[in-house]
Amino acid sequence: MSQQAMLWLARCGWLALTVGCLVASTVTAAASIPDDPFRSPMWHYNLNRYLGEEAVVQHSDQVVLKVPHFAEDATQVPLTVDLPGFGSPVKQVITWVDLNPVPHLFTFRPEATEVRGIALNFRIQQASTVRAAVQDEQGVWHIGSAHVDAAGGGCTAPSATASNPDWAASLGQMRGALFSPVSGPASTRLKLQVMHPMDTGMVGNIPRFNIEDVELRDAANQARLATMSLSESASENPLFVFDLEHEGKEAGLTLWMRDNGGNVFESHLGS
Amino acid sequence: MTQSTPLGNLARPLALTAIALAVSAQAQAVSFEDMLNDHLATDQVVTNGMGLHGQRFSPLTTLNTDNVHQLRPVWAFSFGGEKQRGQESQPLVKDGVMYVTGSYSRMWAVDAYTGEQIWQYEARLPDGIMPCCDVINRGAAIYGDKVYFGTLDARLVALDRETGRVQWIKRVADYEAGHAITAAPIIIDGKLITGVAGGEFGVVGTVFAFDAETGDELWTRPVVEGHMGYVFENGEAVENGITGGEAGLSWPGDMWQQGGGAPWLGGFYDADTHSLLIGTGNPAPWNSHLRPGDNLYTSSRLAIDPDDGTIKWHFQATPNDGWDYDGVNEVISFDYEENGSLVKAAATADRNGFFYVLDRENGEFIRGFPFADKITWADGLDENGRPIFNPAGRPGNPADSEGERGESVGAYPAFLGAKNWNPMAYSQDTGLFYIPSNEWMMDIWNEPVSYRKGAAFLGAGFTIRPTNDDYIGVLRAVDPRTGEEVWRHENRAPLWGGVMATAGNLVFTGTPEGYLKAFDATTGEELWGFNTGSGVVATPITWEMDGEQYVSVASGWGGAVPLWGGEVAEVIKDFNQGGMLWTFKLPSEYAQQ
Repeated sequence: MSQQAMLWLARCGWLALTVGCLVASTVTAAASIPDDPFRSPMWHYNLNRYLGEEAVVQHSDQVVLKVPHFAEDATQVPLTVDLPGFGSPVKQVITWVDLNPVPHLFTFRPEATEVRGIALNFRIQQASTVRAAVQDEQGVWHIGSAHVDAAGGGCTAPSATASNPDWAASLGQMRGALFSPVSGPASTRLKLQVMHPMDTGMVGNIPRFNIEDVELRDAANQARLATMSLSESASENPLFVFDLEHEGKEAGLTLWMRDNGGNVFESHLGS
Repeated sequence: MTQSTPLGNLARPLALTAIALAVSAQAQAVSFEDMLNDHLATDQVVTNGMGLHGQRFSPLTTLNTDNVHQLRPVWAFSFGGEKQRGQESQPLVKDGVMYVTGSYSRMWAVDAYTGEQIWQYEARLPDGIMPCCDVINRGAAIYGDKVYFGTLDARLVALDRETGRVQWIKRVADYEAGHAITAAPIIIDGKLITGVAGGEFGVVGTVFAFDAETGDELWTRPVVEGHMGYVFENGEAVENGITGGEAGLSWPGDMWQQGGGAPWLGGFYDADTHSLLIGTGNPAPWNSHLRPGDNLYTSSRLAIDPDDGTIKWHFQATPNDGWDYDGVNEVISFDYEENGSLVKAAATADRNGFFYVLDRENGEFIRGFPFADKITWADGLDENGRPIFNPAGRPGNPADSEGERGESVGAYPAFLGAKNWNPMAYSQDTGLFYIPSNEWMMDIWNEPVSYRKGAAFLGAGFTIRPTNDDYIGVLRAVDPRTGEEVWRHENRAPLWGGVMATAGNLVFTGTPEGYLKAFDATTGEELWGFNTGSGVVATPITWEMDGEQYVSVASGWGGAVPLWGGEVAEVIKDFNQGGMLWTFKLPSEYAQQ
């Protein structure tokens, strides 16, 4: 899609929002949904499901969604949402994989920090469009899209953990650190991997067992900085990367996680 | 002769708190008062045992000997998957929802009218779990807005009743040392209390109490002499006395350190004496010549103060147990009149073949008698209930023999017991106990053994044989005042399911052949049966909804018999596994017949 078409879509979206505010009940939100350049059959359905029927949506090149063209390993596909030029504070970031059995990957909500980037690996069940929807302060959703070709099966293949009889011994082991990226002293990159099978429940005789809730906290006073919820599309042994505009190096950050089995994992990073 | 209602006990401050909670919380919350009244209530089953005392007696008379032939299935629910192993769970019912646990540490909430699933929970178990006797579970506890059960990796899970979402999960003991939880936990005054299995691996049997709301540990009580018990105050473990006073009184050397005694079947609650009545398992290792002495408190019954875990009294059925007679069997409180006075008694039918009636206020022996047809390890009981050992009935000491193996003996009953885990029932109408029992023997011999964490700590070899050609299982109606066997019903395969009695003069139990059966409680006449498609080794319940009486039971062959039954395999080898929850009712149009 050309830059101009994107701009047009952006303006169109803004116009729709304005009109929507002026004559709220007479304009249906569906009218403001732009066409999907990837023509995914799940475009409208998943927008409705994850953003709501009233969502105001526009394509945006400020949401930079990076995925590989082809997923060699359908159980571990890297995904990065970069928001370096996003012109507004981020209310939330929602990602999904259109054609996965459970498309939702994560919902990230900053509370007391500004997010500039998120990375997390996902599973892919078949070649699919991937979406990152970023909501700005006005409530408008900015969509970044990409397509991943894949042999598939990533959601219904047994995890590597499942074939390891000692998996329980390494469950919840974490390694990670805080880094200072080149973008400036006020920013912090948190990078942390946790050992967890993240079973989808779609493999015979292996119940769903995955981390559902994640919280970023200030290590000093445990004040919540951001929350993240994960779904079955997340990969085994997830590696979380958060680029934050936050003096995390000074205070230190806590990453808190809880899985559907009630297990809680916590790691303190930084000072 | 009726059981005094536990309402008199509501003067206790903690029970009053429970009432206050019930008033202020939402109507659906299950209070401790609901549990204290469970044996009287007909529209719910909120305790394992259909009453905290475990009598498994329903006051319902809608279904009775005249109309039980009209009892019919209304729905069945599959536990699903390929995890079709032994199903030993007793369901719970509250507000039209049934909660049932299944093999491999799973639980479901099911619409009690339709059998439609509301939610399911599946524990993600480590590969290294070590349940000795199949991957079974015996049921849940319910309190407030949560349901609770124990897992095969020795954890307790608290689930939201409405959603099945985990509220908290607590590691109780180390599964890698051989611990597991298979029994239903019990709630007493807001405390969630459980034992652990693992006696075959030389663990030290311990009873644990947790705050049911938060999962915080409240106290621990090892049941083997010499081990320290603790209470937890603000997260700090505070010493609360050594079990039995000190180490080495009834154990030689350091054998108490891996003494066994696992209280793997959990306990029941007597409101009159405010006691948890719980049985303790076999001592470890099996070879009794390695541990001369009584080996307290293994193969015993204990009354434990549920507030802090203090042992109030003990009664040991099999001192220096050398046959794996274990001792975990349920202790059921009941009252009876004798010479014009009320006796506050407790009854227990032991794996060793004897039935004991104890004074539940102090644990003193009132009387005991054999309920198994043949007992060879003891000639009888003395006036204190202690067995009069038959020296020829004990497997020989390997040290006295050539080679590694001690002299083998043929012992009656077999170690799987004249009665195993499967609970008996007590009818307040007939005054009889209905005991699901088995007639089998074993050849048993001792071998040298040393303790290694997580490895079987037996020091014995054995094989089980049926005593008779045509039957193993015997459902017995026994008078606890006289020891008289009033009637018996023989079954080809060993009985492994629990029993329920009702005021409709009925007794229900299941068979490994697949039947749920109903008997006349007075005469033993078989009145009704339904084949569930796989063996019934679980415990039935009954309750009423909208004026109709329902009966439910889990079906699914398994448990210890296929794993440990030796020659019994001839009888049971073709039984198929299952995993279904069956629910029956008497349609209202037949209720008046």
